[in-house]
Amino acid sequence: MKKTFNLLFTFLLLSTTASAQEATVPESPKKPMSLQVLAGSQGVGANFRYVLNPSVGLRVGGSYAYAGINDKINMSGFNSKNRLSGKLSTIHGLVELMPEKFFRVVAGAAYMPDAQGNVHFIPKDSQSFEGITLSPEEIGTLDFNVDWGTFAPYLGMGLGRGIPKKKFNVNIDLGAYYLSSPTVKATGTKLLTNNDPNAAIIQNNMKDYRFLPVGQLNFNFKF
Amino acid sequence: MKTILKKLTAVLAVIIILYASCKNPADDVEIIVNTDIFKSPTLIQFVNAKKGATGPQDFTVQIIGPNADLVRTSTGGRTYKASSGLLNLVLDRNANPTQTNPVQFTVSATVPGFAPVFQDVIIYSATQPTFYKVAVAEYANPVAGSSSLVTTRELANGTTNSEITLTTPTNTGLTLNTGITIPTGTSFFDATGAPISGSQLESRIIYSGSGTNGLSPVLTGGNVSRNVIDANGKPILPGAYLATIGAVTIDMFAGGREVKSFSKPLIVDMEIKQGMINPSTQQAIKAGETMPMFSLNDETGQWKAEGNANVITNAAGSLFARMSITHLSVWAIFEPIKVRDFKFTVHDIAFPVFDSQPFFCQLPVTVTRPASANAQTFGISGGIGTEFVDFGPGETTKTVTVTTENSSAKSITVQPVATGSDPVPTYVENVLSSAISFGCNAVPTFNFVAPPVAEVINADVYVRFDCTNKSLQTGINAIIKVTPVGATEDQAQFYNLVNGKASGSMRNGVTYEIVASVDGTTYKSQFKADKNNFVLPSGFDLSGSAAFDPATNRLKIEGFVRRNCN
Repeated sequence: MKKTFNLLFTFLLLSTTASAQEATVPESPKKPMSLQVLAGSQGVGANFRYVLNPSVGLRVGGSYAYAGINDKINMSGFNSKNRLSGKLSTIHGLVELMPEKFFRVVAGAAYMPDAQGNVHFIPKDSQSFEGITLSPEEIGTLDFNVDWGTFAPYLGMGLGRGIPKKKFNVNIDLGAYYLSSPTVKATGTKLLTNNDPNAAIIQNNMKDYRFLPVGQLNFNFKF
Repeated sequence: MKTILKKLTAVLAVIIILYASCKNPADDVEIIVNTDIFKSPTLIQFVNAKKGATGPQDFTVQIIGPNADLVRTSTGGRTYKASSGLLNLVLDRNANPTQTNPVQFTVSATVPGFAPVFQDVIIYSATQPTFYKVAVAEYANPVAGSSSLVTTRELANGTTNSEITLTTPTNTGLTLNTGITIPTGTSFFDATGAPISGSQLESRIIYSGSGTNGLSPVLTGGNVSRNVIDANGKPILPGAYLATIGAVTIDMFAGGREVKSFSKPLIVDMEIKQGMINPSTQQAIKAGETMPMFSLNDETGQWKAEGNANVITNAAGSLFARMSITHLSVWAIFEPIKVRDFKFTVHDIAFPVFDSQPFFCQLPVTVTRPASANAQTFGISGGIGTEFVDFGPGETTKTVTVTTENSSAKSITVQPVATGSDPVPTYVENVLSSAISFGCNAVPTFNFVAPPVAEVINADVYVRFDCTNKSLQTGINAIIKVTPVGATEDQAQFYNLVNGKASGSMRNGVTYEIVASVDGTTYKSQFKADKNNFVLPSGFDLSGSAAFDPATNRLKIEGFVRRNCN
């Protein structure tokens, strides 16, 4: 099971390590705005970026991510088809401090309409217990839903020039959202309706799962 | 660029450290599978007919009768074993008992030292629990109003070479006796009709008569039956009260086999109390009369008319009912009085209603309870049949008419009934009984009193099997017994666990014993109800803990039975 959660988080970290592609044209003080298309661990999205002065910039935008993997959870005695999925959507506002040309400190917060994970179990085999044999159809299905709340502060850094010198450049953001401690809810059907104690166990196990790492590539279009 | 790479590496390292420090979310997770797939949870509690004496504990039970194929153990098995005197049963998923189409079967058992166990079980609801308390007579410890005889006599190659007379002893609770005469030259046959050859005949006899306490004889399986065949061979519908003069249970064994019939009829002379009223004539029974005699089919639970017994007197002037019997079973002399109807409580528990007649008196019985937002049903026993009274939410007083025999000797007992949906309450006394003797014009009142509020703890119980061989748990489905340690057996409360869960109330500072019987295995625990968090004490079958929430005054008790799951 741990392996599976690792996979989910690994998925969320995908494609964050590309190098910045820098244009070398001089910065124009008359063009402080850019549109940013992003792709990374928080999914895909867009930002509007406005530079107040050479040291401070503002970004507002949103992102959306959804990922899922099948049949990666193995539980002793409970052979199942299962799907582990995560959904993250953000509307965020960020402030950038730019002490150096290629390095930015980024802080802000996000409103997260969706910051959720889900594990869906469908039993594969009949279960026998003390003479009772139950078919998978009789047993039902089980979902564990993990919810990290709707608000999260963000702290990170940016690598690469914030505003392209010319029309386009690519830069990187690395950081993390500090999420609320997750709440876990179990929803079962038929014979799996009493798994609330397991939801409490998972919630306790995940109480420290509060850092959502962000690694993203930003494609910037100056206008 | 070198600086940037250093910073990037540092950030990634921090992320990895933070991520790796988290605990595996699946640690300790064990999927919980409900097993409440069956219907009609039923508890049969076997107790010693003599109050306070130890009843039968662990023994194998037979389930027979018309719907026996629908009966399972609470985990779905078909091997029935009682443990600690408790037997939890359920009905198969295909069963659909209703008030008009109940499920019926018979529970029987043979327990060393006790008279044969027999109980007709009728289930009317697929969801509500059914509870039977079966009083079992112990040969060495007869209840008031009964006596027993266990004796061995010589046989010559399976045949009596002289007349054998077996006479039950008298005691302080019963001054009457029953004599059984086995004629010379009688040979014995087993259930298949095959002759039994043996050198010894062991007889086990229980006689129930009119006791010195004035109470009428109590029949095996109860005195209200829905399965009586009259002298014309027709069923008495919907049932009958069996106004009993006396009953005798006879078991015989020879050559290691159970005797079922004989080559010559046995003569049974059952003594009748002088002045006893004949229910059909309302006059004192006298010599020269005949009285209907019945035998019990212990495979179907059916009482069948077997002709008449002749009332005779002996040389001393004592009255006897003389029966000639051709097979062994429970034999009784009674007048079946037709039940007018069976009524039902809101929990689908049936109880009989009778037409008024001189043989009966109608007692207005008042039951009061403390104010409660919960419904509650009380059982009233000691009358013609157990009756029930339903309290709706908020109701505190109810008066019901209880039918009793028209005699001065009565003992009315009132106690809460375990139901499937209502939390189990606790009272200062959980069982109330009347004096044993009062007239027909009495107005008995039973007041159930709540303990002081500060002493009451509302409790939620959650008991699960935790499979040691796979990551599975399942809530126990059974009716469990919860008894304050040191209290009498009567004070036991019964919690109906559905997927391991039930609710009730307990008294702060009282130590309780929990007894659950599942598939012939007993699981026990003991704990002191306390307004604090605590761990269930070690040394018992349940491990777990309890958490108290002062805001709601609720104690949540989680117990686990760790076992290998097949």
